Amino acid sequence: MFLGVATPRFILQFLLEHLWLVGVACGIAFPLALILGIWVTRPASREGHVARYMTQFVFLGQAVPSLAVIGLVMAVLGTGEATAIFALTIYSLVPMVRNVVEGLRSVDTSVLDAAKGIGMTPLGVLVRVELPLALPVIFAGLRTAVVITIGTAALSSQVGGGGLGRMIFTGLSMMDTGLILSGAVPTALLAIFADKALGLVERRLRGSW
Amino acid sequence: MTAVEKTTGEIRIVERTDAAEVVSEERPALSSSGADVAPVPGHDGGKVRDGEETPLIRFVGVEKRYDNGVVAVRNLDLEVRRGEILVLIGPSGCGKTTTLRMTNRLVEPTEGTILFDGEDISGFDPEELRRRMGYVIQGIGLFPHMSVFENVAVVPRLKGMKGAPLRETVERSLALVGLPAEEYARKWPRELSGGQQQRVGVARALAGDPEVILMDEPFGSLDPLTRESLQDELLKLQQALGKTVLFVTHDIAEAMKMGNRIAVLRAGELVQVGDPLSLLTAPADSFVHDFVGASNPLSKFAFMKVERVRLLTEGLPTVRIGETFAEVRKAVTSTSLIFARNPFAYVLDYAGRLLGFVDAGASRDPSMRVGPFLRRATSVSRNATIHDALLIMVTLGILNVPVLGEDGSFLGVLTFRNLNSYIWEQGEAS
Repeated sequence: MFLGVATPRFILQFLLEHLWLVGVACGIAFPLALILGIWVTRPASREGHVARYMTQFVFLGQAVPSLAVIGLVMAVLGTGEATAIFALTIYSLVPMVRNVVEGLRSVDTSVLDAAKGIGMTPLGVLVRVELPLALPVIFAGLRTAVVITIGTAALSSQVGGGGLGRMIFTGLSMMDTGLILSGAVPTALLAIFADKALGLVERRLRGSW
Repeated sequence: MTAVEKTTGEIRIVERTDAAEVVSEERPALSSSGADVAPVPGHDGGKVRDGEETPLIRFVGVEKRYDNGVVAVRNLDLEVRRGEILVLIGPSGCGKTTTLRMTNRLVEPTEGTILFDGEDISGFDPEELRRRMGYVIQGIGLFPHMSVFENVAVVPRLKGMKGAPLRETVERSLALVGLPAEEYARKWPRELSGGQQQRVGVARALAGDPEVILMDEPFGSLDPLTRESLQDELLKLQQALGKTVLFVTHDIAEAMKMGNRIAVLRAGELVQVGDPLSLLTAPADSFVHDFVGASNPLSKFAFMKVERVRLLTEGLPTVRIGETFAEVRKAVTSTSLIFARNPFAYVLDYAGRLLGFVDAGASRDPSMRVGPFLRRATSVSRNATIHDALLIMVTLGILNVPVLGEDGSFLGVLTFRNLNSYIWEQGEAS
């Protein structure tokens, strides 16, 4: 056992790298997902084909393994942090968009009818009725996406992304269980912590209804 | 206001004078429920004055054809008069909801014009138009993430109201639908029963002080008892506020109860529009005849007032309170009234109001005063319907029902014989 290899200083550095990758990727993906999800659920685009193909493409993305996405992106962009962030962004977009769309579609039609019928503007209906009511579903998507991205980010070290994956893959190649664990355990803890933290934020935003 | 009450096993129709009341001409009776029944203001009378004002809403040659070729509404010409409840009724797919939704531009007509207060609604900003029209739907559609207060405050806020006036408006609207603000304003919609939720729905529609309220089967999802009481309250509310209401339903009983006028639609076309009685007595075709249940001979009596029948006013057996059984005996021997069983005399006070009756055989002593033997008489108001009177005759097994004026004065007696003649004449006439 070479438990001494992973010093706390190393672990912290890789953890911060990991957080950076996940944060940037999800930070880009979430607003994108909101815009895309809102756009495809508007009545005007519901009739158009672009929106439908777009959602179908995004939904299909869920079926592609994460490593394949990273590989595909690398084939185009080469290795490096940008490749990792790009791949993670694309991959985390999938559950986010799906939940934004499903959340917005799940809003009771009679509530929407009433909102429109009493004279709310389309923007008012979106901001004051649809988004608040879709919030739990949208947040569930965000949580799933963040957890998946934390896991996938470990793979991104393979294309030069850095993060806790470096310890895991180095440990694997050296058959060093200690090194593997010092990468894997913080990754798992980070995922659990992020999920709980977002749950708290959601409860705050949602209020008591 | 007329109400049928169950009192100690007998049915008593009482007259209440209510300052806010608009004297009604005809009203549907719902005597069987025992619920407080509010009259409908002026069927083509009352405050709805024909031809004097421009109608609040007017459909001129309106047509709605969907892209798939289905015509939901065809060449509709219809007026909604100020202060009336106009009911749109018909089987599903007849275009009634489409008509309603075209009124607030949730659906755009493919042809024709809809005038609101004389102006073409296509020139309005849709949101501005909707804020001038209340909207209540079957699904209620309360915002589940907003408190009752916030729900009701939506439209006043959209109209720019805030602070104390906003709070007062919300509280007043909640009070109108029987939900005191101090108890309900802070609740969430999920904490309320279905009936209470729809009350909030109505309060939300009222809060913006709309010129017309559009209601799309508003009570359709409620249980029958709750529905009945919300109907009654809406009638009272409408009468007190004088709001114009456009009401969609598929339930003919609801239409007959709520409507000053009823527009019957079938397959997108207007078949007939008129007050409930005219639909029953002069249905345009067999469809309307079957739809309104004109084959039930009793149903039209719910829309005919006892005033239509000639009352017996001469030779009635009446005594004054304070008189004795000698006068009672004199009254029952000289009267032209036909008694069902034992002879009796009506007892009036000195102002001519009906106090009750005494059985002529209650005392053998001619010098005995009638006071101690006074019994309560079942009477109807002059605003009561023939249906009410018939119900009393049948359930109590009596032949004569006293009719009272608004002030409780004794107007005369509705006798079974006169009622019989009236019904016979009606049959002969048609």
